[in-house]
Amino acid sequence: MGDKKLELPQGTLDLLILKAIELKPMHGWGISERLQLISRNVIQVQQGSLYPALHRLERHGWITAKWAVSENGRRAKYYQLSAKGRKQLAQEANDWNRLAVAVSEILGMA
Amino acid sequence: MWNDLRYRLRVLFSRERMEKELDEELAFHLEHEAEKLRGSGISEGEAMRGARLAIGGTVQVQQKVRDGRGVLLWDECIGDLRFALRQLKRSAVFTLTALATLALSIGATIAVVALANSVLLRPLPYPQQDRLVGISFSGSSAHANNDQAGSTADFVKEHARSFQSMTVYSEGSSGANLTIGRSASEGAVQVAVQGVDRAFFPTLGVRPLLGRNFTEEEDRRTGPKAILLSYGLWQRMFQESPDVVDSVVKLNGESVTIVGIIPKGFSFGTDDPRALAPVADVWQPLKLDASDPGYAGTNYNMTGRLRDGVTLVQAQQEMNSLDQPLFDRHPYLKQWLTITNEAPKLRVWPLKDVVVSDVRASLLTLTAAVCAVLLVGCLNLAGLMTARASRRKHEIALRTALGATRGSILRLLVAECLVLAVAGCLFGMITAGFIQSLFLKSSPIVLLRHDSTSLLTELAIALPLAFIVTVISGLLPSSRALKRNRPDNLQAGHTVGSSLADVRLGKTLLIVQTALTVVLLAAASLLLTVFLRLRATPLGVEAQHLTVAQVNLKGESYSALTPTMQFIDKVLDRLRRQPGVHHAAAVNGFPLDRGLNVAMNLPNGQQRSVTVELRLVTPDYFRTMGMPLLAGRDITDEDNEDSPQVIVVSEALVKRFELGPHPVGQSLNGMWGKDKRPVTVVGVVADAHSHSLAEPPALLAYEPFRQQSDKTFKTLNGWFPTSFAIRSASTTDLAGAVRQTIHEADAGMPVSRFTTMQAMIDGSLARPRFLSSLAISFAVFAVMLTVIGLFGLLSYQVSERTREIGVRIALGATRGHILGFIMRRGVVLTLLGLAIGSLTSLVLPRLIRSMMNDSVYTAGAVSNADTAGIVASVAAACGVMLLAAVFASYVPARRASTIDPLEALRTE
Repeated sequence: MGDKKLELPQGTLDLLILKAIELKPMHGWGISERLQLISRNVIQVQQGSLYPALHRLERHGWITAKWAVSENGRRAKYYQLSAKGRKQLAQEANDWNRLAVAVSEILGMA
Repeated sequence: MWNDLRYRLRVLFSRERMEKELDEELAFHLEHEAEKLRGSGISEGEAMRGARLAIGGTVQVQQKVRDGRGVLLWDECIGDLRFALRQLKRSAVFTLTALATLALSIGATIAVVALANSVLLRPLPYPQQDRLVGISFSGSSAHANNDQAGSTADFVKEHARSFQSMTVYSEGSSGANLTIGRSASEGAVQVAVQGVDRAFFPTLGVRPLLGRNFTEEEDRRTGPKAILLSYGLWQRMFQESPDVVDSVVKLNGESVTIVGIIPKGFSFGTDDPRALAPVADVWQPLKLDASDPGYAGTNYNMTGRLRDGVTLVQAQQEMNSLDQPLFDRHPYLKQWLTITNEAPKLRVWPLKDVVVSDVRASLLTLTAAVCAVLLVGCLNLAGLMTARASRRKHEIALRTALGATRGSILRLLVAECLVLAVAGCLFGMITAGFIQSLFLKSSPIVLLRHDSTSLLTELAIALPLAFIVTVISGLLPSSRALKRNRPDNLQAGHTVGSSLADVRLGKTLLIVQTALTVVLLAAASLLLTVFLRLRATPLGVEAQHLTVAQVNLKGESYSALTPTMQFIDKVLDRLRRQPGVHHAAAVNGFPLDRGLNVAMNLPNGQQRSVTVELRLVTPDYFRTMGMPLLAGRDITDEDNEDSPQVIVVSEALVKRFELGPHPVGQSLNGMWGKDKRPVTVVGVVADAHSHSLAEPPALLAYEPFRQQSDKTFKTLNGWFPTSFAIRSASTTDLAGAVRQTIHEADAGMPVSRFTTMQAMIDGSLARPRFLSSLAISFAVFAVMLTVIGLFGLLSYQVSERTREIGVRIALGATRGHILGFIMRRGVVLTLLGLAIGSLTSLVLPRLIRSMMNDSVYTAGAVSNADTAGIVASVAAACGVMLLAAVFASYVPARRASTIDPLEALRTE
């Protein structure tokens, strides 16, 4: 611990965001906090790259957005997983796991 | 994919709302982040700053989101277009000139291409029209046609197996007098009648709107008399009353039954400008019979519909196999020679080719000319755009430094040209409508198959044009500008003179423009020369003070010698007694009008026969027409039924038949119908042109009216009008007198045509005149464009080199020196263009010849356009261009020479 934070590999931000809102809708800041929390500050999540990613996911139709009133009474944009998004999440998670296992095996063998 | 599209559309339509939402979202985020930082003890100011750092800067985030919206390209294009519009508005003069030239050239191109498409490319409006063919008996070098002799047509009908139906008809229509109701002396209307056999409409696949087609009996000589009406005539004369079917009217005094009405829009006719009407009003059964005087001559046309499964090639092969049996059956055909001295054979052509063959070459040449003009316009625009792009060197360098990609700069540069091209096309489409209606109204070329172009067709032509214009005029200069984009262009400092490559491109464009214009000018001048030569060709008659009145002596009442002669004699007698009339005579087969072709055997044992034009005349005809008698005597009153058959021939006939220096007294064999009749030559008259001024003088033979048989009159009067030629004193107005005279001779006979010889000559020249004036207007337009181009190029150069010129003047160059210097550049450029253009023009005659070989001009006229003619045309073209160049160079040169050196040295 105490090493520098690792950068996210290309494309995994999408997966993480989808996972983050799997259980309930969240607004942008909420997602950012949750990711930082869960990863125990190991991964460097650029907050700035969150929003382009969110809009990109919205374009693909994997998440949908709705404006609602947040905990402290202010308006916020809440994102939630769509049916297509759930499928995408399952797919990408599966791919990631397979990749991780394969890489581990290779490393284990060497 | 759909989500993506929906999202993008949402962006396009509610962009502002999305931006506001994003702002709000980011503000929310910053607020929370700052709060978190404050919670861990950081001060207020630091917290906000920290939040901003964490997010990476709101503006950057916003930009990244915007980039990811998927409408980036669209936004940039819109931005480019807006910028281009602003730039164009700023240089209003340039924009207006460019728009005007584009609108005109594109409009003309659309008009001509649409016309060519509808006339040449569109299929014939009959069911399965590709199975329709024309069957002809013609020489091997003939254009697509379907001329037949009666004998050959009948033979083909009997023996050919390749066609499921065949029809024989006469191509043109002749005038006839139609009366409804009892009184034959009132209300006679002249209508155009065409003779067709009963298979005509079924072969084409046309069914009558009302009533029925002809029956077999009606198509026989002895059968009942029936006619079919056109829709137009039904509308005009009978107000579309359905009772008209099976009613009886009088055609040329004979009672005929109307058996049916042909549907509206039927357009099968002729585009011979001498015909009474392009499409007939009335159709009569042809009643083809071997005893018709014209049976042996090519006075008919034949069309067939191929049997299923038979190809054109197979049909032609069958025709080839029928040639020999045909000659065996009609041995006289073996000796036939066409005008071009070939032995004719049976040939098959697609009917569409036959229908358009007359106008095809003209339309294609017109298309080529209009495309050349468009090209000149594009090159002009390209030259101007090059100059503009040069001026933007600084701006382009700046944009590159700020991060613009090559693609986006190219897009920016091309945007201006695209806007001009699209606007030009829009205006062009409007202009095209006007141009087309103007063309059709004033064109003497009969375009049967045209109907007004749909908007869709115009659009289909305009869009590719816009694309091509943009590519030529925009892409080329822009990519050049891009290539020369260097970082040191950023310097606000002045470059002395313009870069070499710039100028070279501008020069090249101008040279190509000039070359094209020279070609157009040479073509126009060539056409003009041919037209003028045609106009100067003497017809062979004295055209001054010569009036012509024509009547159609049709029907039973004129189907014999006696009544015909009675009528003619009565009219001539009264005409000669009119004050002011010097001579009057009658003829069947007036010059420049249609007349009878017969076959005559070449004498002295030569076993060949040629087509001779037979004309029936009264005594005094030659004197009336002003045709000098070269030998022997004129026809007199003594030459009648009881005296030996005589004939007067033209010089050309004497030469062709090789009758020697003393043709008078020789005997020739005439042959019309089935009987051979020997005639004695009693006189030789000077040549005259028969069908048109372009064809060489015809082989003319004149026989007296009185020596013809009843049968001849029946047919000739049925086919051709009788013309009265009247030579009068200049101030006499004969119209009323002539009509009166004819009315007195036969009350029910209308005058079908009343005109002067000069008007007829002018009419026959209408097409060449029209084509040459078109060519000239194209050429003038191109010259104007090139002048503008040269002017623009030189002005630009002068303004770029102002400093340099200032230096020169300061160092002692005189104003005259500068003037000459600039003008020399202009002239040298032009000379280069002239050289290239002249070389190209040498190919012209071959191109124009195909156009001239339309029925307007024939092979004779232009193969005489020898090298002298071409050189003269090219020289004239070069002269005009040079003058234009001098004029275009003068103004910028003048401006250059009046530059004040002190001012010049101070300018940027």
